Amino acid sequence: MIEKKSIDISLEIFKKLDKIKRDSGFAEKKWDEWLDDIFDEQYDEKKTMEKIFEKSAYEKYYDDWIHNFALNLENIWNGKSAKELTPNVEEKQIPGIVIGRGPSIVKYSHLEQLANSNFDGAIICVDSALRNVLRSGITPDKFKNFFVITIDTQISVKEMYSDPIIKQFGNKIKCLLSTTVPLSTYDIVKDSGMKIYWLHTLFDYNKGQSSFNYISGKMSRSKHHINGIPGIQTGGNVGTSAWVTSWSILKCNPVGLIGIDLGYDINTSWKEIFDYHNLPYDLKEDSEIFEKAFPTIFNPDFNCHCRLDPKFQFYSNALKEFIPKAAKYVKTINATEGGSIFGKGIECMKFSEFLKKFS
Amino acid sequence: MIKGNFKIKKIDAKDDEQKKLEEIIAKSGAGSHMVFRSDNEDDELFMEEL
Repeated sequence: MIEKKSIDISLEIFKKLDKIKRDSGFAEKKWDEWLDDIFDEQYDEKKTMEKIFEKSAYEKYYDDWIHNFALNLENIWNGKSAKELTPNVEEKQIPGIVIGRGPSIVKYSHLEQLANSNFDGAIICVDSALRNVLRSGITPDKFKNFFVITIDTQISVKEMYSDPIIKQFGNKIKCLLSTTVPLSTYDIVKDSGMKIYWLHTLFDYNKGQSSFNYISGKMSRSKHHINGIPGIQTGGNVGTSAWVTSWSILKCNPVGLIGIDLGYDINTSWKEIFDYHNLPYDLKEDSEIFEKAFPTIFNPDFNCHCRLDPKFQFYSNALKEFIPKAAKYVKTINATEGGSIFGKGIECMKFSEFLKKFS
Repeated sequence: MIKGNFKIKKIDAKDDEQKKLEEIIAKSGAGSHMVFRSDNEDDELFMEEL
């Protein structure tokens, strides 16, 4: 027997819905069938978007990943696996905070709140946020479990590690690096005094023994890590990688997110967003295509709107899918106070509340 | 016959729109990385050793 639920909606809304259902060719069909069709269509759009980004990534990065991996190999063999950061089973789990560089972090003074708190858990910072995090007083002197992560292939990443403040605290920071980062990134991280821990970024392991992940996994093994090194889901970006690392490798629980907006603040104009991507500003803002590619969404948990472009939709869809799937390992609390991460299985609260609860 | 023509027009219109949307997505550049997919839901999130 099929379990049924009923909801109360106003007659006005019902009439609007009924019209859309009839106009979609579902006049004689059940409501479940129509809604299922909508959800299938949305799912297909997500899959289409994911495939387009996968193709772009292969074209843009794949050769670099192979090249970088080859150049890193000796350092990987002689280096440390990220698995060494995993605490013993008997150790008590500590909370973690993943820090991204989304606009909410400035808007709500999250770094200042954290710097002035008594939080005693782990800090997992994305590379692009590191300089500002340290400058705001969140340093490994105060926060002993301090980590930073880089997965990106772009040569420009090394700039994120070039600020003198990073060298000042480098020897107290643990840096997780993907095996595919450029050698220049490895060199600057090493030069800053950070301890380096390697991990693989997963993308094609499902293709079996001929996959890059499989081959590079086997090649990375050495007497220092005979069974290999960990592989993580990236969700397409370093913020999601930091979140996966926080609970899968560092075993933090719960994990709070700040600066993980994966969207633009509502006050960012479309012109600025288009300029950012070098896109021609010739789309009508009220067209259906525009609304699909650049939707403005309402975040009911933080009572705010945010704007998305295709890339943020791609990132956001993935993280929103993975947070509930990881619930058996970790309780994730989005304390970003804005952005696009909300929905089924995602708990949201103000960062001040998070700090009060877990400090 | 007429019904058939209507259907063809509707499909063409949708295809054009879909193509345009896909072009916009492609133009917005590559992300930093890809999303990893696997039939094994646990492997999809992380692998302890690889």
